[in-house]
Amino acid sequence: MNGERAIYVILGALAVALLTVSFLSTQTLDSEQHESINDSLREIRRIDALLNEQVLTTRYELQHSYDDIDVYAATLQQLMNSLRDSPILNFTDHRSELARAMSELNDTIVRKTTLLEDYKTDNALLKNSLQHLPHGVGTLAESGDSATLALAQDLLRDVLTYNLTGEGAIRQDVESEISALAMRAQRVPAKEQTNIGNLVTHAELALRLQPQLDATVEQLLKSPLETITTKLQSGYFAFYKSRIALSNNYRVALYILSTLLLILIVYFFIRLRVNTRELFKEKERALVTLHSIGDAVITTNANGAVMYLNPSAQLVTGWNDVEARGEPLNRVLQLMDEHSLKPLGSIVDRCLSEGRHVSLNEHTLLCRRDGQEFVVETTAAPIRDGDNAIVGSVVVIRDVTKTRSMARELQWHASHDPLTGLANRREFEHRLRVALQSARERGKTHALVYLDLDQFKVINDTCGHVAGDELLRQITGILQPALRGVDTLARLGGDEFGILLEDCNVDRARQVSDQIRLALKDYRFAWKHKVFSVGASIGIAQITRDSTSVDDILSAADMACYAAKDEGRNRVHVYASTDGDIAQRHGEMQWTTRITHALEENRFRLYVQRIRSTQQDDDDEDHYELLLRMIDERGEIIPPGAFIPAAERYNLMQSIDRWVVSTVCRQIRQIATTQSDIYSINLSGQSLSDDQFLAFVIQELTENSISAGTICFEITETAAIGNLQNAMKFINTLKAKGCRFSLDDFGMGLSSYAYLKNLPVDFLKIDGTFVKDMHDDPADRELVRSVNQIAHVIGIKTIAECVESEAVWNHVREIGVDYAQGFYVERPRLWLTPVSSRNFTAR
Amino acid sequence: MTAVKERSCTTLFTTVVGVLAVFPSLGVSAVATPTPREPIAPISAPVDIDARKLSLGERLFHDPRMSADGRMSCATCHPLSEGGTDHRSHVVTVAGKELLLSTPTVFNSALSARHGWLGSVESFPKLLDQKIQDRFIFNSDWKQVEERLSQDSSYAISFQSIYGSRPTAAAVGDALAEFFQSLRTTESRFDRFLRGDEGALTEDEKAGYRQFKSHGCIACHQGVNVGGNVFQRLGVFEDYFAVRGVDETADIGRYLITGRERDRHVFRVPSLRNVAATPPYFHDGSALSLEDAVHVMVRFQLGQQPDEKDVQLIVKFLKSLTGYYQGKSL
Repeated sequence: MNGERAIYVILGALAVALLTVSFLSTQTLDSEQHESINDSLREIRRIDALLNEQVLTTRYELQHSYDDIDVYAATLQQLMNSLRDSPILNFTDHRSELARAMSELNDTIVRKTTLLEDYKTDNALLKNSLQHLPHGVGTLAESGDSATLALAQDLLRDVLTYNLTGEGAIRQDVESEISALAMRAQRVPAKEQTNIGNLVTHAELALRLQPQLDATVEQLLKSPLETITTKLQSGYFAFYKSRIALSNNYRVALYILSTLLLILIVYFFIRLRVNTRELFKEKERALVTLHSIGDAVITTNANGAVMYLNPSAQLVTGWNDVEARGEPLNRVLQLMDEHSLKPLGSIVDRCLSEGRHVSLNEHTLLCRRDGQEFVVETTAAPIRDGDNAIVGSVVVIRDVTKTRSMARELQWHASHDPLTGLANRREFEHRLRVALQSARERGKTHALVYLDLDQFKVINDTCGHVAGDELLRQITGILQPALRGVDTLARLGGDEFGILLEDCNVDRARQVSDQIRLALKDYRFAWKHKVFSVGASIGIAQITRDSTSVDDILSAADMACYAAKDEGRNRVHVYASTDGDIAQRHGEMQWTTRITHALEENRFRLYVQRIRSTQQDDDDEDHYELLLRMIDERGEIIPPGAFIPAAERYNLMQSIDRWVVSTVCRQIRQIATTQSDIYSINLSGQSLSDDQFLAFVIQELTENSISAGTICFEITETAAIGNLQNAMKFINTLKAKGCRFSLDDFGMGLSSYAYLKNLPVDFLKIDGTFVKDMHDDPADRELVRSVNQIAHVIGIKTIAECVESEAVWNHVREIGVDYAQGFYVERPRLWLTPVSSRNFTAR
Repeated sequence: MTAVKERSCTTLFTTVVGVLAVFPSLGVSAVATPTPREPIAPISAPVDIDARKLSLGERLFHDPRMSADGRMSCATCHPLSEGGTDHRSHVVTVAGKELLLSTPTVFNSALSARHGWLGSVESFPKLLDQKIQDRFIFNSDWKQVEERLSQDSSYAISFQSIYGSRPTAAAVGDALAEFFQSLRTTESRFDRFLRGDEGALTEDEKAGYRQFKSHGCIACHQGVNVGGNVFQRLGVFEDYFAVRGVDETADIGRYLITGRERDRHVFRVPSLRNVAATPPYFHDGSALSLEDAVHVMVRFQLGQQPDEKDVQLIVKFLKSLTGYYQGKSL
């Protein structure tokens, strides 16, 4: 940028220098000077002619006056001076011909002036002598003898003649006459002698001066002034012409240069106008943009004084554009800390002094002129000019009040139960975690109270959800007043509440719990003419330095609550380590014995459900899934969902699976089925991953001479993946023997197509949850369709579960699922009563 | 501008009839003279004199601030009331140094192209420069002179109004030159005679003029100033200095300037205008009376034996050359 500027300055200076040089060079002799030089030269020649004439005049006049000669000589000198002062020599080189001619002229004039002086002197003397000669002759005529007189007269005549002609012969005459006179003088009287002497002296002088004077005159007349001035004049004319030509050239250069400059000026002017217009448009666009954006924008100058506010900024600050202009930004934009409510330092000052982008985005409060407050995010960025110098800043303020409240609402919802407004389980667990930490780190003691309503289910079932909801709200209203502010009451689910009593020992927790229990005991819930009494079982768990985890604490409280319930409802029970037994007694532990007993007593039954081909009505092979049921002590049929989870947890699944496999094999041998029948047996993950179980299966198949092709094992994805290596081994071994496999419950659980590809199953059972609502839910339909397609691509037949209506059947058929299973196809029926019983519990 | 009648130069002693040009720049004016042409022209009254410049020049002429010590003006050596000369042969200056040459008069000096005994300068400004800087005269310089004159507010005003400048060397020179142009002695009886007034001269004086011409004095003493326009050796026919005795540097004459042998003992022929009023005579001021001077001239310059009667006539003639300045005879 600066370099560019320097180049412009240099170019400008060069242009000015060029113009100046051109201008000065065009300077030439003006016509007056030109005329005066010409006149001078002409005048020199004229005066010189006059001077020469005057010299001749004074030479031959009887009586002369030198005034004119002096005047002419002075005039010559003056003309010479004026020539020398004329501007010719200013322009020419000293060695030029013109200058040489000039000095030659000067020398000639000086020489001529000297000659003139000599001439005047000599001429005066000669005249004096010539004047005296007739005078002397006259004197002789009065006094002397005639011979002398005659001689003197001859002398006079010859001197005058010689003076006129300068002939050598006459000079000799004069010389001889002089010597004759001189001889005569010796013979005459003294007075005569003097007269003759004078005559001789003057004649001698005249004779002596004559050639000298003639030479001087000749030199004067021959003085080359004429030639020199002519030469000078022609030299001057050449010079003048070259001068004119040169000045003409410079004038042309000047013209070109100024035309170029003019064009440049016009060009820059036009560019300036175009730029101005574009800048103006740009500014308009920027202003419109600034006007229309929702964020508040304030610009300041480099001192932090406000320059501009957009409408959003005017709204949010309460200042209008005109009022605010020039005010310090801190006055217009009053920012403070959300929590301390202290004013914040100027964001612009920081931005300007640090020269970088500055943000204030957390907990900033903007106080409007009228006092209203906004939560804002503020950023300030410096504005720089072309030289990267800061010329101001732009401040953007975003009103995040709404966003902030929404975020808070979301946060609240995430941590609270919307029905009761209490903390939810997540939040409660979070607080428990904090409490546990304080207990561990600072040795505090807290208590967790677990509360389970006794009659909630009854009310919910008899009066509906609305009543249940209302009950929960009312219970919340009863519980809350019993607690301190620091305590946390939370709804943990259904009819369960949790209370965290911070800094609370067991005794006090029991006290609080009793209080709550009594309050609930006295409470009656009224709903549409019915009145219910509501009781609660309350378990208390302590949170101490020794507590291990939140889950343990919760579980302990749960168990305590269970114990309370076990003790006969409406009680408070403080957790003790033995409470686990109570739970077991009443929970799953029961199932282990029941399952074991059922196995021992052969109280399991196999049901069968047909899996029908959707494409062929007349199916040549019959495909059935075998379903397990348990008959309880009272002879009631118990569905697998009731006992299987317990069996899984207490490692009873292998016993059950062995029972099933063994039973099925024997049954098939008995009924001597056709080759085309296929029976699907569900296997658990535990069995699948057990090598011994594989051996058992092979043994059973062999012992009973079962065609492996009649057996299909149904495994769940989860089971297969839980121990993929063993599962693969199991599948591959049995597949090699001819057994088939189907993947159960596909769509639930992990459902990965990648695994599907790796598991060499024959059938894929699409989970019933997707199938049963197919006719209603297009999403389910599409899901089924895509699973079906993918299975087909891999080469696996598909089976739709839970086909419970014709509509579903039709959809399944239409989609192209190979088989269907469900109430519509066939309800499960008792297969065969087992013929014999074996003890499967013993391994 | 000038009209000159062509004439043959071959005829001996032909009279010249001509009209001479007037060169105002030189201030020399010659008017048409009746035939036969006399070798001496009458002095005309100065023309086109700027009265303001003249009075300024007159004031400068009398102003001692021209000299370094402020005691000497032009008028110190050239008192106008005494013929424009202090009549000294060897002047003792303020600096205590004797000048070697006698003081020439300033009257009519503007009519000559050359000035002083040696004719060393050819223009008035040069002459003035010389006098200002001469250690034995003003011993000053123009810077000092200009400064001193500038301090006088009346000068400042005069110079400003006339020249549009402060007192500069050029302006001072111009004003003094203008004043010198006015220093002319007009209306001498001889001039009236030249203009045709036969009764202006007595018969003796007329006879003296004739003697002046026939003896040959006129060969050097001619022109409007009756001399002053030619150089001549003192002692043509006899060695003046040998006769006089005492050899002084000043006697070397124009040789001092040109260095040419022929210029030894050569001096500018002095003007004989107002000669009766400006004794003593010669460069050495050796002749105190006109008679003495004429005797010396006839003997050394004309190579003749002075005839007492002729000398007296010539002296009478010379006395008729005295003119008037500001209505007063010199």
